[in-house]
Amino acid sequence: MTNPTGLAALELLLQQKMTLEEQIVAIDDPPAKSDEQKAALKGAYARAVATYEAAATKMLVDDETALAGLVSQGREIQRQVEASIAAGDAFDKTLTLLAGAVGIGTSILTLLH
Amino acid sequence: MSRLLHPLRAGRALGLAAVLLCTVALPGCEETRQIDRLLAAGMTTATQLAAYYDALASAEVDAWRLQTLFNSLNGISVDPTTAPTVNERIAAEHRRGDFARALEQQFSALAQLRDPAGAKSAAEAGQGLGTAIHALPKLGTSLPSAAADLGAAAGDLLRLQRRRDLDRGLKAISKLTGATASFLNDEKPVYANLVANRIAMGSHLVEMLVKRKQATPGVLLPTKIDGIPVAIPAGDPGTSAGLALAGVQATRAGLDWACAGDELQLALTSLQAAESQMRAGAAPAIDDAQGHTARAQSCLASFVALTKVEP
Repeated sequence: MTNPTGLAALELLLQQKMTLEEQIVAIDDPPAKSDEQKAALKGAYARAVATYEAAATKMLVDDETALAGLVSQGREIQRQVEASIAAGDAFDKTLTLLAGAVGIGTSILTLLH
Repeated sequence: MSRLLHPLRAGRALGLAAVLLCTVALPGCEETRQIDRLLAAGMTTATQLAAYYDALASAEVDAWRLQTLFNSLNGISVDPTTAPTVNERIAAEHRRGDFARALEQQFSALAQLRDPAGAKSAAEAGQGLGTAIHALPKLGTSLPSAAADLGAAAGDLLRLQRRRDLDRGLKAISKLTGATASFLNDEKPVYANLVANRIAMGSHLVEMLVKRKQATPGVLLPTKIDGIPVAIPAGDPGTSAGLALAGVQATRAGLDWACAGDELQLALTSLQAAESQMRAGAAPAIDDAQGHTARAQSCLASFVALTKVEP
């Protein structure tokens, strides 16, 4: 049957992608972001899209191995990202968290194979 | 040769006699009618299952179109290997649709088994089913039990030789419907995730276009509510109302998709139960399967209507 951890990983990757998408939709909202910040956000989003799409394909085409540790780590970072956005933290701090989340997503993808 | 002894004429006469006997409702004919109803219900469910997979593949194509638009409007470049990956997944969804169509063919071929020529079409359909199952690599790696059941059932159906094999055919197709229900149950959360991505993609794109004054969702509002004409002026209130309505439609689309998958799974489970009841000599509860299939069809139609992307 479909690996429950693999499914949890896919849900996490979708959550990351959607969080970044929301940030891009609001990219011109205050506070103003520098060009570098915008580029970093777009780069993180591009990686998140590629990671999600690859993981989703693997779920339908291949089987998965255990991913529990990374999924749990990824969930914690996602929680921090959401808390940071909700608290209106400085964009740099949120961006750093987002980049960390995407990095974990990439590691999850490697394990999905 | 006497006209009455001509084999073709004799066969036609026997067929006519059988129809006449069935019209007076002999017990054997009641069973025949039940088998016909069961196989017809199976065909309808398999057709709907194929439509479900076709809708998933279409939603994925739309999601990727929206993703491409979103990326272009924001100057985002995604890894060039991503598009082939998405295409690979869509091909996997089409293979599931092909499997459902092979299942539909099998139900159709079994319905012809009472005709001596029907054994050939049942065997051919069994072969088609085997090919469709073989094209789903995930069955072999992550669903060994369902794969074994499906493979054994396809093999049984392939070996059907004679009219009396109908009972064996029913047993095999019962295994098939059960294994298909397990497969659907197993993968439904993945499909839900993919559909959630499609819905979020549409919502985020609309929201972005509104922010950049490139879309006016106020036009989404109905022109009449309970027969009363409604006119919301252009501007912020109309835009906010349009976005709120789009959010409700997105939620409803997600619920419709879940409903279609759940009802199809129930239809398959009910069919399997009805097949077992029939083989045990009890009256099969075919209405349950038909009801679930009809609800799946309605939910799927609503999902497709709500998520339609016009070129």
